[in-house]
Amino acid sequence: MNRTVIGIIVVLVLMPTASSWMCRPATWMINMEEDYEITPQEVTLSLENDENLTIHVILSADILSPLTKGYAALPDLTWVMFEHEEISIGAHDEQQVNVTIDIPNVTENYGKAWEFFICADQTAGGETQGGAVFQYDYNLRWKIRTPETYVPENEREEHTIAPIMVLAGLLIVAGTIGMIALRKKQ
Amino acid sequence: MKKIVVGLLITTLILSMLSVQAGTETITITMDPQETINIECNQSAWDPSAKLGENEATSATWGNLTNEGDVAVLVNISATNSTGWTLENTAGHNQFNLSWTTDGSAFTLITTDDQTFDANIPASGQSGNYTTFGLKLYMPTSTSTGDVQTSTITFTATAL
Repeated sequence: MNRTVIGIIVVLVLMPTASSWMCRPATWMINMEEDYEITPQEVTLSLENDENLTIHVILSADILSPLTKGYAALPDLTWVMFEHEEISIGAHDEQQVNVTIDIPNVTENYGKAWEFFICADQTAGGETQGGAVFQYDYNLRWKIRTPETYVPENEREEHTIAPIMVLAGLLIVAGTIGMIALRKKQ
Repeated sequence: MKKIVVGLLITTLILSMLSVQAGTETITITMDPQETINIECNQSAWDPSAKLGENEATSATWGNLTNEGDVAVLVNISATNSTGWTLENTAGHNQFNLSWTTDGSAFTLITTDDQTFDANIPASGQSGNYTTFGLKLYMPTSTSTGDVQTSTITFTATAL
C-alpha cells in the first residue's frame, strides 16, 4: 500500500527589527514654583530593552530641537548628576538611574524656567554585521521651574494640627459643661 | 434617657457590623504620569550587494520608522564612517555615500552629523505615527581594504 505523506511546510517570516529599547520619563517637569526655597530633587530614569545593550547618558542643552517657548537652557549642566552614566541592560530587563538635580540656592536662580535634555545613547549591543545597521538614541526633555522668591523659614505658612487640637478641646469642654447643666436640670 | 442612649449605641453597633458584613469591592486604578520615548524600525540592517563603483537603492517604502512611545518626537538621522571608509558627499577612493528618501525620487544625504529626518512623528495610537523611507548607497570607486564594512545609521528621537 502506497502511502502518500503530505508534508506541511511552515514558513516563518521573521521581520528583524533593530534592538528596541525605551526610556522614561520622556518629558518631565520639576515645579518648585510654590516652594519656599530651591531644594535638591531626585528623579528616577528608567531604561528597558529587548537585547543586551549598553546605554550612555549625558546632558545636553545643544541638540537639533528648539527649546519650549518660555524656557531657557539650563545654565549649568553640572547641576544635574546621574547615579551611573554607563548602563548595561540585559535582554528584557529594566534599569533605573537616579538623577539628582541640585541647583545652587542663590538669589539669581529664583523665578527661572529652564530646560535641558538627557541624551541616552546606545553605545554597544545590537546588530554589527556588514552593510548598514540601525540604532536608536533618545533625547528626553526635562524642565525646571524654580520658586519665585526665597521665603525665610519664620515667614512660611505652617500647616500644623494646632488649630484642630484647640477646636477639639473647646468642643470637649462645651460638651462636658452641657452634660453637667443637663444633669443639674434633671 | 438611659434607654435612648443604650438604644442609639446598639443601633450604631448593628449598622457598623452590617457594613462590615456587606464587604467591599475595590478597583485599583494605577495612574502613571511618565511618558515613554520609544521608536522602532521594521528593519534592523541593510545588506546591499553593490560592488565598487556601483550604487544600489531600496524601495522608497522599504523602511518604516514608527513612534511606539507616548510622546510626539522629532527624529534626526546620522550615520558613522566604517572602519576603512568615510561617509562623504560623493563616492571616491575609500569614500562611500548614503542617502535616504521618502518618495523614491528626492534623496537626502546622510552625514555623520544629525540632521532632521522627520520634524514631528505623532505619539503611538495617533494617526501618522510612522514614516516610511528608503536608502541609497554609492560604493567607493576604489578601496584599499577588502574587509566587510559596516556603517551604523542612528535615529535620534527628541521628545517634543
